[in-house]
Amino acid sequence: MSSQSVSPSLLSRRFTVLTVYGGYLCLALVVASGQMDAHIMPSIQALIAGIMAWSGVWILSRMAPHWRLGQAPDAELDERELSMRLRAYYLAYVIFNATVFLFLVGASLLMDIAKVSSVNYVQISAVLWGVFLYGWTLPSAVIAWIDRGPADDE
Amino acid sequence: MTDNPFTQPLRKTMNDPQFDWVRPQRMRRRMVMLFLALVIAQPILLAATGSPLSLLLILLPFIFVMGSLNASIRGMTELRARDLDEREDKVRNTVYARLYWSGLILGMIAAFMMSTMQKDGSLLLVGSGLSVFFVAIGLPTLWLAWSLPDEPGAD
Repeated sequence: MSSQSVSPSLLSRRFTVLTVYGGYLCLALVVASGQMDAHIMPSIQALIAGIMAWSGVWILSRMAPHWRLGQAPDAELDERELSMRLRAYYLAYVIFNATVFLFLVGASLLMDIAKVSSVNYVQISAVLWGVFLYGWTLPSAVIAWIDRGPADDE
Repeated sequence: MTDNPFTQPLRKTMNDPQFDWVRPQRMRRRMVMLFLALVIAQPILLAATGSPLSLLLILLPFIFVMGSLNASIRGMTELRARDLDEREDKVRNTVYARLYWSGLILGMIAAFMMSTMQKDGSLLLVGSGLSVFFVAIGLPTLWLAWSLPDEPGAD
């Protein structure tokens, strides 16, 4: 593949994935904790979450070959690429549902400990934008994470 | 003679002849219907009894049905890729890719329904969220159990 010549290294790809997901998670936790409520209006907080999510999509889409493997139509991929993409979707599905489970357990404990009795618009926005970011990019991120293409084998 | 399914390797259990009875497509489809009946009954039972302990009543049949479904498709959604042959691996991954967004949306709906637990959400809603989550997790297995043709040589 000619696209492999511009592929970032495995380490750099993993760092990018961790940075994007970790960064969004940090923002979501800050928003959910209500620490920004006194300084920033709820609608602006939701907008910030949206901008962060779109920025995450943009940053991950810069890992061009791996982004393409996750998102391009089947007809544009060869057999090896298609096989890698299908495996990535399998892993992404499992990871997503495991995350939902962990999120529910974590949120339950947190709400009990912090005595939170309701969720607000900003928190729901942060979760929805998170699902948007995560859902759209996860297959490509999995490919970027696991692919040890020819460049990495050297 | 078959071994104890709880002590032998999972790959062996999933291909164990003692589960041949559940492998014809007709039986697999019955198991899928049974699974759906259980996930519908679960929130109703939870709301009717008002006690989370009632979930234990559902747990045993649920384990039986889910285990049977997994064995019926020879563990295609449970086993690691190295334990599957190339065709099985491809079929499994294709189904997960096809159902990716459905599973994602179901998982998200389940999360929102179950999050009402903290603010006086009804047990019916919380139980329904749990059921939706079970469906989200089991969707690829249900899909394969429903759609795979009978194995060659099966009666």
